[in-house]
Amino acid sequence: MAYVKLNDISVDFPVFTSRSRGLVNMLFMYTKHEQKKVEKAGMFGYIVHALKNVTVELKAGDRVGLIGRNGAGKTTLLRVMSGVYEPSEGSVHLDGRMSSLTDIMLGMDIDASGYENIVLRGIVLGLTRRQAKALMPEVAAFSELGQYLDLPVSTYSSGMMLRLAFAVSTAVIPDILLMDEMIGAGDAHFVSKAQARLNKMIEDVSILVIASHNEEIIKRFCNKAILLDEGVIRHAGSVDECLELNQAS
Amino acid sequence: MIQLKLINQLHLLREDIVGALRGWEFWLYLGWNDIARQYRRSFIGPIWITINTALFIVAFGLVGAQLFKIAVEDYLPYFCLGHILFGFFSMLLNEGCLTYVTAAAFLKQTAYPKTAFVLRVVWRNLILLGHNFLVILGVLLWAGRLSGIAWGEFLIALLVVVISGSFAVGIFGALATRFRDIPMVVASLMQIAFFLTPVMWKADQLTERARFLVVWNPLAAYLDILRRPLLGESASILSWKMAIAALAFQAILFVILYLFARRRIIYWL
Repeated sequence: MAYVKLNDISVDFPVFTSRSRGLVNMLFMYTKHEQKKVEKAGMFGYIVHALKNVTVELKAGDRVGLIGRNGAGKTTLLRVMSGVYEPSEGSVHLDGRMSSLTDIMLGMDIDASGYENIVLRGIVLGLTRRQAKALMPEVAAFSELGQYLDLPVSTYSSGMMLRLAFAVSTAVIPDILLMDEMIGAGDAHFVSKAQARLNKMIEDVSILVIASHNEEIIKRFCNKAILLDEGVIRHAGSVDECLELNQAS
Repeated sequence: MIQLKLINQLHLLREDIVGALRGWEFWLYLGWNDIARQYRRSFIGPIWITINTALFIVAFGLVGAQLFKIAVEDYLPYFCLGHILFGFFSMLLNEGCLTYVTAAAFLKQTAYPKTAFVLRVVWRNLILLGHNFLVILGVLLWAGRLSGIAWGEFLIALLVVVISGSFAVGIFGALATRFRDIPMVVASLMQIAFFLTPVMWKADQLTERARFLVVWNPLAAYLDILRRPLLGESASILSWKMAIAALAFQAILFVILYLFARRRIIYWL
């Protein structure tokens, strides 16, 4: 059974200045007997507490909207849930096939053909080569790219490129789906088709977490919400409560 | 408490490496695509590099034989192997520094095993070495030494170098993510190392006082254990000892570094 359990996690970010970025700079910092200053500022210059004592428990059927202002920690929380960020404190337990659809073009190569990109994108999504190749007919049909799939992606319009990326990225249904803002694709005709496919995907996944500034999207897809503020959970509960609190602030 | 954390990190590191090896299709395909990309841009792609290498080797081989007063049939194979193999080490370390920096978009989206990207860099460079191997075979054929190659010893040496190189790529990859001037430092050190390693000159041309350049130089040891079998000779025991010692040292350094750095790499990107 898919689940996401974050127990009292905190994420601290080192923020590097150009001085702490370079090894040579750091060596000079020490030889100039500036140790005290360095210590005082921390080795890193600054430390940002991106998330503080966050506890989240999600189980099958949960459709969670992450809301909050810019810099509230929504993306950081998504990255903890995907296992990308290992928090400095607290424990993370994840189970289930995870897919983050933040950058649906990730791994694509514009010099490669459409078909080659289906395989590339599939492998980046965690498929084996054989599984990725098996997606070809379905993706070709859905994206309506036909013979263009034999051509390098660099010859595509941006809409066509997006259609291809979208078609592959939504071809495999994960257990846990993480999204940073809703993804969409293409021209008017394609939009409704894409929407239907995405809705189906969202229905089929076991757990959905979506960070969005768009209230309509949160209301439509989510049955729970988490309101983040400066790295802390201000409220977790029903969508309406969280949206209301968010508007009030 | 600290012990518990270390054991936990060790466990996570093992999981990372096992995960990378299990997901071999991922880095095999990405590494292959890195090369395929060069082929897509121009029809003969990386073969340009091979042609370039071949021309340089022939040109310098002829001059070098005069300079060092060695017969061309003897010097050209020696220099050819040295140049190509050292080029492999050099590329590996230089690109190794960018292992994670260039994979930032991947690492930020999904929790891929870190070491998968190390293997991608190593694999990509092995493919390029394969291209240049054509030049090696050509030169050895010309020199009439093709049948003398000690393939068994060469393959064992290659295995040692590849494992060593993987640890080195991992080490430099992590360090250079944190300290962004390391790629420049490595690039300039490798340029100097080219002259301090018996790539174009022979170890026995050194005076006794300068012998340490060869004895205490792991690059010289790697070069020796790879080059000798291809020339139909056997590498010295000393070179093998040095190569194995360097491998062990890098393995230990890698583990210690990654106990600390593995989970931090993503925050450094």
